[in-house]
Amino acid sequence: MREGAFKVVLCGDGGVGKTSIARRLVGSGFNPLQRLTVGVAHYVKEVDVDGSPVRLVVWDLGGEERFRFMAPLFLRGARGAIFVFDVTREETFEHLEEWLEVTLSTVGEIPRVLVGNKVDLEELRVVPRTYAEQYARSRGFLAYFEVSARTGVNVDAPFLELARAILRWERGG
Amino acid sequence: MGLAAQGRFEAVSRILDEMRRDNPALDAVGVVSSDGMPVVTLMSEADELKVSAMVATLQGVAEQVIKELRGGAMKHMIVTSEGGALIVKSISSDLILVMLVKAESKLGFALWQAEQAVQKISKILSA
Repeated sequence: MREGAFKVVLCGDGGVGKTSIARRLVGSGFNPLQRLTVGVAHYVKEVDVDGSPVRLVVWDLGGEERFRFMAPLFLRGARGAIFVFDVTREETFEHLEEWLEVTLSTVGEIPRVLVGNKVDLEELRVVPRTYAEQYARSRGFLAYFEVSARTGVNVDAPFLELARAILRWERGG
Repeated sequence: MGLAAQGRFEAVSRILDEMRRDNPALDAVGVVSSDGMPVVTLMSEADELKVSAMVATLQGVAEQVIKELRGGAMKHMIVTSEGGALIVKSISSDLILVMLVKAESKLGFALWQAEQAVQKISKILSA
């Protein structure tokens, strides 16, 4: 197994912006006409964690209901997870619990962070920041981040936090 | 990595080296884990992390399709392209062999190589 490379998964309902976040992360830019992810897509990003290079192999899971049954297959071996919801669609926040359950039942406890996307659409927001922060704390997330894949704001931060946590986890910290 | 694991890793590397030596049409070959990480790969121009993730996905989805269609146990998968053929074959529940051979190569020989490699690697891992 390659040292310093870790599999991480992007979970969350269809249309929350997982692929747009992943594309931003690897410098591919924002595509307003981004099509749905069929099954899964993969991205590789190297991040620097306090001087140590860490390569994240990002598995961007198709969020549509019809691909959901394959999620356990794709989750296998994940060392970290990023759960994404859309701050303008309440149901995507409510469905986080389902994504969390399937993740925990497949890979057990792994480092995870929560991400609220589309904060550029502040006027359409229906999930308050404090509510998401409270949920993140209560369900074992390391942190909650608000990002915008459209503008690129804060997109790297959750991946860096997750990489740092995975390294700590791997070192038994 | 422990000594025993290092020894197995080197033995698998030697098998892949031999495959390439015996078949000049073998463009890329590798062993990847079923959760999508590279174990040993010889694929100079490709991103082995990305390829490994994709190969594990292909294998996993193909197994699901065959299971759903009640096609029995999967033997291998062949994807042909203008440039050649991709062969994906399960070694164990945890490992997958992947090969890319040039179009002009003999597919039968490549499949025989795959079968031989799977047997040798299985033996190393079970020793």
